[in-house]
Amino acid sequence: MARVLFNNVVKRYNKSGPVSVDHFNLEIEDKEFMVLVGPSGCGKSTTLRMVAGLEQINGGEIYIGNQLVNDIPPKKRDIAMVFQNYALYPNMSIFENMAFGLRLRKVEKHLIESSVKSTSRALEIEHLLERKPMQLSGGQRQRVALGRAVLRTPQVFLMDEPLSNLDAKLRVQMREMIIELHRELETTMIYVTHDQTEAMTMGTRICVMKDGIIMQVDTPELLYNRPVNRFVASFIGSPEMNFLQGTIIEKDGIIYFDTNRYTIEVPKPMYTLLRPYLDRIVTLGIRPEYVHIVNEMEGVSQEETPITGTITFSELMGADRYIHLDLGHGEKLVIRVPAFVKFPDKTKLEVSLNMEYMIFFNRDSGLAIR
Amino acid sequence: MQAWNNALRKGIGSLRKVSAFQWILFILMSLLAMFMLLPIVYLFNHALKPYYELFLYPPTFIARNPSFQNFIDLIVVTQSSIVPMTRYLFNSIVASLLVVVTSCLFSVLCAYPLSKHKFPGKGLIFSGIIISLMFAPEMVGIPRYFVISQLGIINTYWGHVLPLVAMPVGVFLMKQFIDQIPNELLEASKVEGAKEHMIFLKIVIPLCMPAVATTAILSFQSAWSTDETSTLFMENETMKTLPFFVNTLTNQLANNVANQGAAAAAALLLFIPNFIIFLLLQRKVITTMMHSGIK
Repeated sequence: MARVLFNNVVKRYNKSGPVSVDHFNLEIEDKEFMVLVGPSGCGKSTTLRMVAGLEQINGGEIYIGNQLVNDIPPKKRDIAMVFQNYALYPNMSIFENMAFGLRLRKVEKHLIESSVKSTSRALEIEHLLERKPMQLSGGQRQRVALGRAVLRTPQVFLMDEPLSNLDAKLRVQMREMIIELHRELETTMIYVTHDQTEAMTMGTRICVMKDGIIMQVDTPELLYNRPVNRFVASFIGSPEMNFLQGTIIEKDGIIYFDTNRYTIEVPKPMYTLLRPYLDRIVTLGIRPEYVHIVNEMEGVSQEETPITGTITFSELMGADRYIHLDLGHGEKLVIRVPAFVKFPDKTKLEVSLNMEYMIFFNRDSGLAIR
Repeated sequence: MQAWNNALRKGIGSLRKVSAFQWILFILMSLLAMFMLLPIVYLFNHALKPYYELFLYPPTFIARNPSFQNFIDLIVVTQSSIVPMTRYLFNSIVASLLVVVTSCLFSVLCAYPLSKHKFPGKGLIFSGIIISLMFAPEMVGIPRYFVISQLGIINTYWGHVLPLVAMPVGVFLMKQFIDQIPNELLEASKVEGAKEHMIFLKIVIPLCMPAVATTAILSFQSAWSTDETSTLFMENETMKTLPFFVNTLTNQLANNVANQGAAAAAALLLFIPNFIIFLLLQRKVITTMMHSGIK
């Protein structure tokens, strides 16, 4: 049990090359489940490997517990790591795989045996102990890898995309298993993934990274509802958040978000925020579930400024349906509706936006206006 | 469902059907295999040919009147020589085994850091090893002699072994093989607390057994059949090896015809251990990474 602290950590692979992780500052609290998420190549795996001691850091400090671990080799850091491709030793049986770490630490034989047995029972791999890794399915292999990590009772668990090689159904099962494991063991976990669903469902806090820089660290709720910039807004959530470009104008004391085709009244609480942006172009972000269909239109529009568009196609996702709307002029909008709401393609729709949930972004910097 | 079943049946049928191209390929490959087999057939038959058949023109592949006369001749020749043949045989076995063990050990010890570790000059060292593959054996004969004589190991088994320990082919083979071992495997064991020698012994060595087997075959073949070390570094007759003895049967006599039968028998005896070693290890060689369950 320990906290992990990053203090201005810098990593570059080549002296002259670009930085992989740039002045990384993060405190992961004891017993926390921290998820590092971001597109591939954002430095999340590198960050994890630096905690493990598999990568040297070029600047800054990493603490595990109260110990500075910059120059401490992996085996002395008291961590356990689970890899994407399981990293089981193909030449050893499952039992030997799980016992390897304990044997290296000279744990007594009968203790090894009993702890391997009980852990494997908990993970439902007890019947596989005599087999070789190649005889196991992906899900079983990953459970062995998890068991191997659990057995060592480390201070910190590091997981590097452990579920990426599994099929969708297994992934959900294993997700539950890991969450449960965390609840039982109450050990600090750092979990790397590129899958935002995994991040949202598992993390107590999520750290969104891009190009080696932390974009935002927050709880899943805050990340979803109050993203700090456009990148986080579009990365978290599926389908992606909708973005519309428009000008902020003031008319008779009321502030509007105005495109040439439609005008939307901005809710009162946002007035003070948006005043500095008067007559400037901003980006409006709105999640697909906060776009509502007003009605299906026959012929031309009746009202003066409704948002209208033509359905290009719709996707049925089981309980939900995503309707893709073409607003014209290259603007698109995705609407999330219950599956029973059904329209043929090419239907003209009029929609409204739930004003309470919209977020404005500075068009140039991409930062949220808040 | 019915249509699907039909499609499935058709699919299986077409899998079983051998196309014309495959037939041609099969025939060509069989011919090639038979051609490759000829020397071995010749070797066996030659040893069994009676004396007069050895010099027939055109030479025959199959012995017409097989006999063991050549082996009897060989025994007679060896009994009349000063050093018994068993001594040459013993020297050969000791030297070859030492070469196999040391060359495999050094190859894998050299290949592992080249493959999985970072250190300055790594590329240079590897290129150096590859370039040394191109040296002709004649070129290194004299420098080797100096090294061996300076080390004072002339007339010892180390004189047989040392020139063959450095095996660039083995290093290259092992490196390519170890390259295929995922880094995560080594990292996982590092995180678990394994020291470098434990990783090497418990993970790297067991996983690259196929490459070790291949290297073992190659090094055994070169060690077992070389007479270079005996000619250059051994002055004492009792320290020379079997291939040298077989050569003396024919080469060093004024009369090239005498002892040809004994030489043919000895050549067969020289070949048989190679053959056995290959049969024993070939299964390992064919086992690739795909079968070992890493990927």
